[in-house]
Amino acid sequence: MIPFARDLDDESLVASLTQPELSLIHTLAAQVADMLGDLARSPSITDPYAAALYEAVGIGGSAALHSDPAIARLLPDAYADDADASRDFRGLTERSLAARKVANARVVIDSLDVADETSGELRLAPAQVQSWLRTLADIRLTIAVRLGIETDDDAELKGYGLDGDGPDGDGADDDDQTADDQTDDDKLLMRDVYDWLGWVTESLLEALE
Amino acid sequence: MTQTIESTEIREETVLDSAWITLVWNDPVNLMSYVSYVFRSYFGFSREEADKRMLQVHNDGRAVVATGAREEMERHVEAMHDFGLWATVQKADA
Repeated sequence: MIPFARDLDDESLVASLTQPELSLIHTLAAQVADMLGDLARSPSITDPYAAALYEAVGIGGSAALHSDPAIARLLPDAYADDADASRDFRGLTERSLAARKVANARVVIDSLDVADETSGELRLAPAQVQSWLRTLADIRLTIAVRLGIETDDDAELKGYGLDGDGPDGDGADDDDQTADDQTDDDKLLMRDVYDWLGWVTESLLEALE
Repeated sequence: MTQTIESTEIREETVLDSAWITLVWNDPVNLMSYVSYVFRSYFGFSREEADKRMLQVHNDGRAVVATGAREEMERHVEAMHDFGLWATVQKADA
């Protein structure tokens, strides 16, 4: 990957990525969108007026923190010590927050879909950069939960989680493989991806400054 | 005299009741440069102020990034969750 740089003509940020890099971010953004998809969707309301109102207000959140720790991290409680206030806030905001995260992930996917196939050139307009920053954060938060990165020490220790008590598997490929079967190689690879995505974020921020 | 003191105390309590804060909590994932960028771009902090609060989050585990009415603090928290930062609302005197 050639890091992002600002195109002074139109304020867009331009980078070059290899095909595997482009498809990796594509896959991970799609996974975040899938993970939050159900929470972002409004239930089917037949009355168009009621449906429009529902859309506008954005109500329909869960009663409590989600049981999947990655979703719980992306849609956290708004009150640290007031469960009732957290539930009320969640009811008013969770669905729209999830929908915005899905929309950001889709912006990332769309921008990757139009990246130049031969040169790997990726061009992001300022609004797209905002979606990229948020989606990269959401992807990294999700990977961190799966890898069990919970403290600053974990984050700095390369290869953390190896030989540990097995954090949960990805959830996306639960077919034949249980979480315990996830090999150290897989975790090392995910750790590399996690670190690389951090580098992509740094590259965006440096180009923005 | 006594009455005056009482009324002052009541007024102070009312002021405290209406004051809420937005807290941002430390997490091991979000980059320090990203947190500082969020503070600058969303709250309009100078680089110096943003870095100061970011380091407070990093070193003390949390930092107050805004004070005001409850609804306003809830909007800030929602915006922080958009960015993937872990933020909460609470009463200023809690």
